[in-house]
Amino acid sequence: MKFDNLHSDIDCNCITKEVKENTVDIFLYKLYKNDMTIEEFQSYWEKGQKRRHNPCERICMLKGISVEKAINNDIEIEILSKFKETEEIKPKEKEKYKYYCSLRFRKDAGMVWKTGEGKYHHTFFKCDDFNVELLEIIEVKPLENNV
Amino acid sequence: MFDIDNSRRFDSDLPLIEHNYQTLLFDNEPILYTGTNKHGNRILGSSVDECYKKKVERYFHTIIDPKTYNDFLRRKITYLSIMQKAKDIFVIDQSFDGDTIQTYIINIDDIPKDYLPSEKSFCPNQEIHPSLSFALKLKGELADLHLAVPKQLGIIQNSFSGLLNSSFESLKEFMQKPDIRIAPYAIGSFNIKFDIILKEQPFDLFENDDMWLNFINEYMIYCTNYLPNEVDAIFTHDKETHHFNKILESYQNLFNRSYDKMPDKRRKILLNVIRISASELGELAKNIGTNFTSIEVNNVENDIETPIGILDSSFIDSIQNTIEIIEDKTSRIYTDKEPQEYEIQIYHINTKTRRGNANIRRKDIMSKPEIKILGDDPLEETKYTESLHLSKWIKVKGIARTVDDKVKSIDVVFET
Repeated sequence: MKFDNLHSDIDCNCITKEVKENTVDIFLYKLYKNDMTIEEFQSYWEKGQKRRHNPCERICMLKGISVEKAINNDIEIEILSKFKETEEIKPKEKEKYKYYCSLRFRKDAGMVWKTGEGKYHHTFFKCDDFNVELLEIIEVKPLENNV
Repeated sequence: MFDIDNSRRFDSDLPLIEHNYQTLLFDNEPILYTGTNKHGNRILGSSVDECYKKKVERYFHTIIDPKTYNDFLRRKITYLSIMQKAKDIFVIDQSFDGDTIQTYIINIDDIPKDYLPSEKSFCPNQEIHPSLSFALKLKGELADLHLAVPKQLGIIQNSFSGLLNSSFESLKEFMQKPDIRIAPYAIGSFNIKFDIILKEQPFDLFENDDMWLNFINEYMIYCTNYLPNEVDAIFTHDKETHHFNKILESYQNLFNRSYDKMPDKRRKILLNVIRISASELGELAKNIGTNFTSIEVNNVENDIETPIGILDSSFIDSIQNTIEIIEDKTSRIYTDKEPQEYEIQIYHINTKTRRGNANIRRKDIMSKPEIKILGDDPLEETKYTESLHLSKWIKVKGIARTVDDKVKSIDVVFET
């Protein structure tokens, strides 16, 4: 897998030895609409928030996409409560995200990095050839009923 | 994004984070974070909203004291309550490139309700990665001038080393007791750094897992934050309590991991370790109020300080009460029914708090009880300060508390 696009506008190497391909585990991801599209699956950096005055670790986290690793249903409940915690601090998030999906990454979609302060948070890096077909969407659910 | 009047513009870097940046909640971007400004003040910040048209991201920043930050991390208070109590809330507008465009100073009434954190805005639980370094920060009075009294500093260094040693007492079946070293540390108010130096272990029971280190950190948090409120339940009534249960569970998990057979008396072992730690904490806190007003206890990893607890004047009484409850349960105790005559030599007294220490000899047993001189009369130029300055033995009347034949405390009746 190549990550030239990921590194095109920064002087950091985000694909370190801790970053690995994961085609086994299920991850949860928040959505604006009840359908996964390439516009939905973008990092904040891709959306324009290019905060370059940061250490490489933080730049790489902003370059990637936040996903939460869910091993079982109990953990899904914990992750949903983390989504809720985000809304408690930043209420405007509630207006943006209405759905979430569970997904697996297919082979050659990209690589996953354990990041953040919680147990489940990971950062996903899309490889240069990424497209939404490389995401195996298992289920899309409304956030409102669950969070 | 809500409008802010130009009169609220605030052109200063006071509310900007310069050092110790740490994310507390990350979800595609930092949602909640902390750090310190150029003066070393703690700042709590959060993402508020973003405008893709103007390419601007807005943040709230609040300057908070160490105790408030510690209470927030322990989930005792919410982000909303911190903002409600803050006199000033800073609004930082940054370009999507991360450059600060404008800073405003507002108060909570200026913020539309749909932008305010909720009443449940507690700090998310943090996955801790503690290190083997701890730091004490003395704050207030002399400490703010980067000065300390040698005798007090000696007590603080010894009692905190004792506290660290006591916490490792619980792990004596797993590992040899480590050495504790005092290391140089940058000037804050008055900072002391302690490094734990592990000895080579005959075998590594934890396979490089730092779960034992997490336990030590959680244990230190327990002793400095929750023990005074739970001591009565766990020692006197053998009841289980929320925070003690959590620490006991962490302790049990160490055994589950390391032994096929779990020791039966781990609760008792933990209580015994707590007994020793409480006594060290009592020593650590006893000079608060003289030359410094509080001690911040931090874990330090890669120069980032994570609070363990804040010991201030209110902690002195609560830890003394804790020690007395533990002694009541674990020792032979006798308390005078009415004031008796004692001969003492005072070697330390805080004339503000009226608390100190003295030498006393009874039945050929020497003790160094805590003393408290009752009443409101000034202590200057009395027989008590004379005893201190001239190392003179004086007769006093007081109610003594004797634990296992040693006088532990005397409430001295003030006499001119």
